[in-house]
Amino acid sequence: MATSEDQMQVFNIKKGIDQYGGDEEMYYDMMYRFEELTLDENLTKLYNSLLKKNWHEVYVCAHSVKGASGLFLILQKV
Amino acid sequence: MIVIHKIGYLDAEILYHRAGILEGRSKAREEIKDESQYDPNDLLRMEKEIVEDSLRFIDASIDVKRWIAERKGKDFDPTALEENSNDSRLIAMLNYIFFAEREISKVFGVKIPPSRGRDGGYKVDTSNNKSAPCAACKCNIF
Repeated sequence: MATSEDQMQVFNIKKGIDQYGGDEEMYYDMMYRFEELTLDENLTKLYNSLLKKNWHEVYVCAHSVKGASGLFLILQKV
Repeated sequence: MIVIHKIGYLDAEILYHRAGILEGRSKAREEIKDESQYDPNDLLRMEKEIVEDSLRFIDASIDVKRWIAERKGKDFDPTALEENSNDSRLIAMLNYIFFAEREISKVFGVKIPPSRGRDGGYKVDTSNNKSAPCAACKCNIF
């Protein structure tokens, strides 16, 4: 039986998909691209930035991932 | 049909949240231009916190990658990565992350979060219980 929490998740994912015109495949495709183009790239940059103590680059990495993950997450609780 | 990836969704939300914390801390450190105005111990403490937040961020990233790998139908068992994974790119990236994590931990003298790290064993959370307050930063976003 679906709990209210489950329903909340469904609702949020639906809203996420709605952002891509209701195209579920595109939503997940964007998620895969997020992994390859944003997450992996920034993990690599983060490692190098930390070793160089480049705090600006660390900030940029975190900011990029936060912004990109927010694109497919609807964070408002229902 | 909407497929519910409940755990994955929450993993992504944790990633978003931890990225925000790291963003804030690194921004604060970046804005310190004249370091002579600060106690070196305070600066060191700030930097250590950034590294700890980075490791938590990496931790959340791995969970999101696991979720996406499962969604793609890829085998992803970090406890036996080489034997069971069928995605060479994923293996390469994870090995790189594990290596980077160990290096960061070593250089800054910061411990890898206890749930993670290949040397200590990758503990896969199968309890499906992500509703508790964030263990790393003690925030209570859920």
